[in-house]
Amino acid sequence: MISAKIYPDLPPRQKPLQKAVIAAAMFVVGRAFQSLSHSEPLIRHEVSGWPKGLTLMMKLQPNGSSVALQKQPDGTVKYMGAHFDENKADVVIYFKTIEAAFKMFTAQTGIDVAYAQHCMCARGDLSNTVSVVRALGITECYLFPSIISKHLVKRLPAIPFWRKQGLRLKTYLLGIPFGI
Amino acid sequence: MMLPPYYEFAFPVKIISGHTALNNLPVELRLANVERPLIITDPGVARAGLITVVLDAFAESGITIGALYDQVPPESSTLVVNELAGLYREKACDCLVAVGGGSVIDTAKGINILVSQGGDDVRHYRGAEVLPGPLRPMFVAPTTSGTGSEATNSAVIADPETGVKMLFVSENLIPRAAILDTRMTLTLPPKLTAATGMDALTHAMEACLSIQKNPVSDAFAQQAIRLIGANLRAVTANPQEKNGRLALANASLLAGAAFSNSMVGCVHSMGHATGAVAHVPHGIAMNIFLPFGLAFNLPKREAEIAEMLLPLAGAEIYAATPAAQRAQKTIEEVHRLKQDLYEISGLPRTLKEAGVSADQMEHIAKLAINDGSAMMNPTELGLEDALKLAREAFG
Repeated sequence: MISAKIYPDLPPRQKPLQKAVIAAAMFVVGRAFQSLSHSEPLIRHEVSGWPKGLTLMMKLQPNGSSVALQKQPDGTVKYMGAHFDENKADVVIYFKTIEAAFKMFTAQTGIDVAYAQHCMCARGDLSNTVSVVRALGITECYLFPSIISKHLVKRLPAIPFWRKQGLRLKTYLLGIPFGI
Repeated sequence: MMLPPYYEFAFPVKIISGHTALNNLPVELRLANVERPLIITDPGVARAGLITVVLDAFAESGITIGALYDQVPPESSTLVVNELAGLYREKACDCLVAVGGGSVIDTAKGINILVSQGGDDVRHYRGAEVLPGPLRPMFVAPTTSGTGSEATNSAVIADPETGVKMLFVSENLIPRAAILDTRMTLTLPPKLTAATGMDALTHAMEACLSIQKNPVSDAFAQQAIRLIGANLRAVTANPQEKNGRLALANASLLAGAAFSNSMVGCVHSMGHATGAVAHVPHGIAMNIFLPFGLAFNLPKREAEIAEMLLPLAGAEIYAATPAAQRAQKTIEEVHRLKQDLYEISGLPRTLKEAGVSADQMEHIAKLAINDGSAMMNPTELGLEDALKLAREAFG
């Protein structure tokens, strides 16, 4: 007879390195988005169409890291940190698996392709999804060189060269470290 | 076609198709171990006498219908959904039967969320792929051959308080069975037959272009295109043509299954926006924009558009067209279909014919680029692109 004693429970394995990379990348995206929302015209245009106070959150299921962004009254976006209460967010985008989140946050997959491949699910009002995805795509275009970002978006946004380099520098030097 | 790196395909619907298929509905209820349905429909279906067909099907079945509600509005609404969930509970129903078009079916899906998951307000469950299942058994008898809602995993339900159309997406929303009964679509007038048929054709064609396309959705879509290509003109010209009617009902379902698993694209974005701005009915908008949407995606999807020529136009035209010209020929065939349907039924070919004014183009374009369907379109739909599409379609 098969004894249950010789078949112990198998708790889920851990992937601490991938988790750490995702958490760091979420922080970078959150801070970069906050910084660009102050000065990047294309992002400001997208955000201007979002409802007042919209809070958007991305979270790794079931208990992974997260990033929350909130539209401010002045039209900018504030990074709300990694521990925002998901019940208070208007839209929560969940990454179904750690691999899916890792691929997206390490620029191996674009957001629309990730959605097409069922990497994400979402709770809340999805009527601003396309604009949010466009804005995140623009942010990625600042974070990564064109040779990478052209694989993440269907069409690279038309950003003048010097504006792109200037804001990229600002994002990396001031935006991500200090949230400016 | 290349296999996508990853795909999912969910289609648990039992298809029951035939000239008198509805007679089997009570048997399907028993197989699902339910016996007290809430039947919902809309006033148009009730006036057309189609509900009598459903009630007749239950004759001598031993099944008592819990309640029949025939006042579903043309646009699904959270208020109606919430109230009907109360009726379902009060009458101790155990399953749902939707008899109607997209609005009735979406309303039934909304009710099913509440009666299965609990709660009084369906708005709490909005979102994509977050709804746990399973839900109560739901049976659908479509009365149009266009929306494909009987085979889809989504519902759009308007919130009258905010005016927002809320999206619910979950494979748990897919009905248990779709009953395609010829009698339910025989009374559709020619123009509506043409418009709904072009809606189904758009579902199928856009499913083949989407960035979520996969081999299974392609198979469903190609068969849908074939059935529409072979039957839409004839049925529009002769609405009482039973076999053609059944073919179109099947095409609508197959196209629904296809786009439910691969999504639609820019034609739907433009159509939704045109509906919102100028109140052009969805099927008419699809008819107007379809060839322009195909042409817009041609640089990225030439092979896929070329593949549609065989099912759409038949073997002779396909064989007579050089391989390099097949994509363009597909677009020409869609234009030709539009022209034929215009001549047979008066279905508008351009936005101008549909009553849209030139000064509405910009508003349409602005809304279209933020429509959810744009996300799965293979080509980025920017403001200039949408404006160009609108102007081309204006005529």
